[in-house]
Amino acid sequence: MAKIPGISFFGKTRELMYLQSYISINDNTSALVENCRQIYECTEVCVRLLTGSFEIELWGSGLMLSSYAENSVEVRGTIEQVKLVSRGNRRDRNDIGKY
Amino acid sequence: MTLGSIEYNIYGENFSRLLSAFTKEKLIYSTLHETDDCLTLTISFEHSFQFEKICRKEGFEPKRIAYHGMLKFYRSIFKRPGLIIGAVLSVLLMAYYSNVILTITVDTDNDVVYGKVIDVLNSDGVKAGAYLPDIDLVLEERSLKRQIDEVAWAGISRTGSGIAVDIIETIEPDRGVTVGMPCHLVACEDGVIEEIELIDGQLMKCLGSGVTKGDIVVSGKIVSEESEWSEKGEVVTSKTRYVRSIGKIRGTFIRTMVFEQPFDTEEKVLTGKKKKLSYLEIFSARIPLSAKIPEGYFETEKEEKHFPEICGFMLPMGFTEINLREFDIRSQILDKDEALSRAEKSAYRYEQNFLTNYEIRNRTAESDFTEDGVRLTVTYELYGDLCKESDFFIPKYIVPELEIVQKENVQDSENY
Repeated sequence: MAKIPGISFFGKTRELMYLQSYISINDNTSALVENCRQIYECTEVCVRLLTGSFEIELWGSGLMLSSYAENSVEVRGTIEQVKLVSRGNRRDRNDIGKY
Repeated sequence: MTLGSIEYNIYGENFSRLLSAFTKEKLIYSTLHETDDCLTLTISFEHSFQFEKICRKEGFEPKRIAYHGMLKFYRSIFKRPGLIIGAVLSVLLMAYYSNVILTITVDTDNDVVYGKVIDVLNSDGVKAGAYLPDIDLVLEERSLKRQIDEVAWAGISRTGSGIAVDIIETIEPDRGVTVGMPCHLVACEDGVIEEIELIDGQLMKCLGSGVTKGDIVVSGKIVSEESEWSEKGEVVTSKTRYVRSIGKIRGTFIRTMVFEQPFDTEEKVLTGKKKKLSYLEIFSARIPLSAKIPEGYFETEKEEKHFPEICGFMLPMGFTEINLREFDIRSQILDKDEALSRAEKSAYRYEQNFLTNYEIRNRTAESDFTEDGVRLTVTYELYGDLCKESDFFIPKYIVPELEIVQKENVQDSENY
């Protein structure tokens, strides 16, 4: 697991410039993800999104994705799990699989 | 999504490249989800062209599967051209009928005045179907007041797709009460008096005397004289009264009438051809249903058929049929007997129309044939009223005396 520094210069800069990803979840019916960079996958049970620092996985049933504004997506359906995977860990994991 | 949205299906294996392109192009979409090898999403109509362009660029072929919102409504309308044509026609008809006269209402109970108003309006071009903005209602009001004597004031106002004509009819001033005014009974025929029924007035002619037209038979001026003897001699006091002569003077008189019938006449002959003109009546507009109006002379018979009433409300629509029977005016040469017969018919009609108030005591007819026709001279010996009332004016110089006389007369007339 990657070490998260207590005070990070880039982290503070991203916070001040609103480059962090904002995730708002309403009950288990919808989740709004802002500063979404890419959509990897959107099936009925899993939605994978890429933000600046994390890869967000939403698990559930009847999931559907909508994009109403720039870099924002809304996931609707029955959300059961939200998984945040750090982009560094993802690279490590991919490397593990690769080798 | 003002115009609605379109639901697309995209078939393929890996959509990550396509999704990246959507994000990169900042495409707005909704309800995106993958099922097996199909990506389903909904795009607003405004963004659908950009979406299809992106898909094709990335090697996918989007397929429209459903329409939502107004787009669905628009498509359903486009599939029914009758609705579109009907809507367009309605708009055009509304635009047209809001500017033409459909109804003309005249605020009067007098049929004669109504007919005259409609005639004047028609002659000025103000009739059903006329274009309203072209009509100067003020000029039309003046035209009505100028051309119709019975109209004292006229006001025309627009009422939707029609005009309403308000009218104040002329109230004829009373001619004055002539009942108590003095008058003579004057002979209106040359004849012999046979019967006198006199209630008031001074009889000027005796029973059995002859009178000529214009003679005063009963005078309304009664002059009474009183003579008294005094030391100075005879004093005659003359007193004049003016009364209304009331009575019946009957007598016998002769009236001669001449009836002429030319041999060469024109006669109306029915040709036997019958035609029918049909009109659709909407409000005051009469729309002919036949393209051509036949030419010629026709006797007409009008037949109106209104649509049945609905809950007591009479629909302003109906059909009018005019049955035409063609006739021709032909020249006809009469023989003497026929001409004489027609002249006698004319005399008979005259008797029926003008001599019903008289007793015909004797009638002699003489016929005289000329080159052009027959001349029937009928001499009637009639018995009936010989006199008629004739008002007279009292000379101004006796007006002071008249004041007293008038009062007396009023009392007299009240007694009668």
